[in-house]
Amino acid sequence: MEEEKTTSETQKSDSRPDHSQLNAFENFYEKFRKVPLKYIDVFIGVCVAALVIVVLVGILKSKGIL
Amino acid sequence: MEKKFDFKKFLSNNAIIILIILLALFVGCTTQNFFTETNGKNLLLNVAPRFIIACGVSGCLITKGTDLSAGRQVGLAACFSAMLLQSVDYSARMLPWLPDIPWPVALLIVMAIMACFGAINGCIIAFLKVPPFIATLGMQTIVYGLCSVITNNQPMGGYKQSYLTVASGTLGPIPFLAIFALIVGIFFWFLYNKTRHGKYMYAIGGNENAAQVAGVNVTASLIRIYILASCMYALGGFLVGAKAGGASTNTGNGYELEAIAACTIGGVSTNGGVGKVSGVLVGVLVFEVLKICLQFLGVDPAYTYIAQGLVIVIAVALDLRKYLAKK
Repeated sequence: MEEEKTTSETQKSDSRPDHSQLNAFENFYEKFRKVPLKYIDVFIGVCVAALVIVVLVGILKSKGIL
Repeated sequence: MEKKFDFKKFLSNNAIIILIILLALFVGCTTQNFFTETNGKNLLLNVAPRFIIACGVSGCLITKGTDLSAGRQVGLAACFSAMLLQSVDYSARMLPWLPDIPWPVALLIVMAIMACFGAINGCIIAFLKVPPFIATLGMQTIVYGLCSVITNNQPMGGYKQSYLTVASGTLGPIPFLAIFALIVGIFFWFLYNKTRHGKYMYAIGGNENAAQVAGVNVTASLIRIYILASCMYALGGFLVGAKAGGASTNTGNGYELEAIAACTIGGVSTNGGVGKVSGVLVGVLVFEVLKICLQFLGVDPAYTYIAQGLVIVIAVALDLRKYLAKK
């Protein structure tokens, strides 16, 4: 039983990459490993919305409306 | 068996490109002179040197590296080109003792000088195992300081006509700058797809240790990649100088981030091992179209920077999404 537990723990740790072998970006990306894709999609959606708002505000500002 | 078209995947892979195309269509419909020959030519002239610089950076990114000194190296190359190609009868000539030299010779000299900086970058990264981010950040500051010392912080101009023609001349309807970019594009496509060096590059980017075990000379490959990148910055700086008709220590400032952003938008993963020359071209085009669109819309310049930054964040988020989806 204990042996099985050890094996499964070893396998679990093997599935995680050795961080010393990763570059800065991979280390950064690995931090999001457990984040569901849904949240990344929401973040991208928010960024796109922010982009649209920034462009609109920029136009209104240059025309002196804001 | 016929593959089913995955619309969600297509959207996720090309989100920024679709977004910019929609923006361009909107600008084209709401403003005058957007879809004109002059604007197209202007776009081509802006894209050409940036594409050359981005091609240089792409090699570093594919091998899991980066090059933050790209912009400053472009500036130094533009200043060297300016010093070598000022008109002989120009009163404020930087090197009055220098004889008149043809522009191709000057270009080769500048490329040779800049290749030394690339070799230093490559050696620091390959031999000393310094992270590329840190090594090239150091080089960025060194190059900027060197540029200030060489030029005494004075802007340079008074170029001879043949040098200015490199940027303003055309072959039929095609500008010389576009021809330079085309040659570089073909060269890089051949290098990445048809040579051993290209295969080594992708192998190093995929898994450096595995590549080393498989017999790839990782050290030599990395040094070659950084030397080639610096040669491209030299060419880019030479063309940027010719296009602007002058050069100063601020020439090329921020080009490295534009190049990295363009590569990321074009599908060159910051995780290495992935990237195509066509993707780099698309990335540069998208970034330049975005800038032109914002200009046409009359967006306040400060907001233009915020919009560009958001596009970079979206590109990295999409890259992260692809990385996580693969796991």
